[in-house]
Amino acid sequence: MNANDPEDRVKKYIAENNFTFKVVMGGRGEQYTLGKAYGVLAYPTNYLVGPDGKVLWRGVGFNEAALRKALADAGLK
Amino acid sequence: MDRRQASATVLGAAAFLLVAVPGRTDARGEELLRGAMKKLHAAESYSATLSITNAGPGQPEVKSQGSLAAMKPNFLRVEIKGPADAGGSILFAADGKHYNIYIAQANQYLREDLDPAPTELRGQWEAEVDAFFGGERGLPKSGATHVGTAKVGGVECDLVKIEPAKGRSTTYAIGKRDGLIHQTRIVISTPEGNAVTTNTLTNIKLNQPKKPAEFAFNPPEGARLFERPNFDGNLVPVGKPAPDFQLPQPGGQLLSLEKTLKEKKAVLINFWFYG
Repeated sequence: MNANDPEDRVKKYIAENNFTFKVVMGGRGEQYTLGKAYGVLAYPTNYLVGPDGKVLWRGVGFNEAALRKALADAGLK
Repeated sequence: MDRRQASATVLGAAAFLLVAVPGRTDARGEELLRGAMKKLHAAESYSATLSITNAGPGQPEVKSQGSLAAMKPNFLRVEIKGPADAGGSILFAADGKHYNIYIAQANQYLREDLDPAPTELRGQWEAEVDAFFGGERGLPKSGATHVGTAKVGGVECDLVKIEPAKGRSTTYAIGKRDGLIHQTRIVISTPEGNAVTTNTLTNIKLNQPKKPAEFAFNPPEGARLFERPNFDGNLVPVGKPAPDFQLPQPGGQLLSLEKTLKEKKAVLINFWFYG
């Protein structure tokens, strides 16, 4: 979920870094409303969402260990 | 100086390549600067009186006074008393457990956990304090040049200049006899002109006996601990539905959370920006 960047910049970044996941454009300025819906105040913020659409885990900042633990807790290794 | 941000470090690395070309590096400058840093790093304690001048482009010089005391492995007390219009007084205090930064004007202090053996501490200094704790690690790999001599506070010094980033230089005055840093002079060029900060150290002492109690930080009456903003407070709670969305991918094709979740065990949504 990209916030606030122009599309050409995002495309370039995706290509340069060989992203293997999908990216959606959150929109810019006033149009960027998803961050508010998810209560995002700092970047990166991550959400792990289960198949039922409910939040399994969320965290702010770079914390790979916490994400791995959340995946393990959800039985996803 | 404050720890540089990652982007600034990248710029610094690029600028460093520019200053490291043959002819700009000289062995004497390198030797003098590294020698001064090693000497500080080898000391058990370090203290000095500070005299600081700041001058922004086209602005009058502002003077501050202060003191520096440091002891291995993680004790530090740097007090700077400046005029109110230049930020007032500030105290950097590492007491062996916490690193406290007290800003008198706000009567607030920041407190963070302290490394048992830090190699640098965030603060208003160029190299002297970081060299005491971390040695030469803060220096560029090469690029120091001997640019002359000068008398600083009555002490004959060699002047050694480094350019850690484009448009930014630091000149160290290193005592000819004691091999210690007596002055740092930082020049940052801006479109409006140069900003110059000079920090002169006098009464420098190494290896004087000091006790941890001398570094105790007691917040002044009524001082408040600065609270970091809570970035978790507004997040969707665990167990609640993640708000659905339908947004374009680069190129225009729409993608919804619902669609993404189909036949998946879980989906990670990462909020990011390039800036």
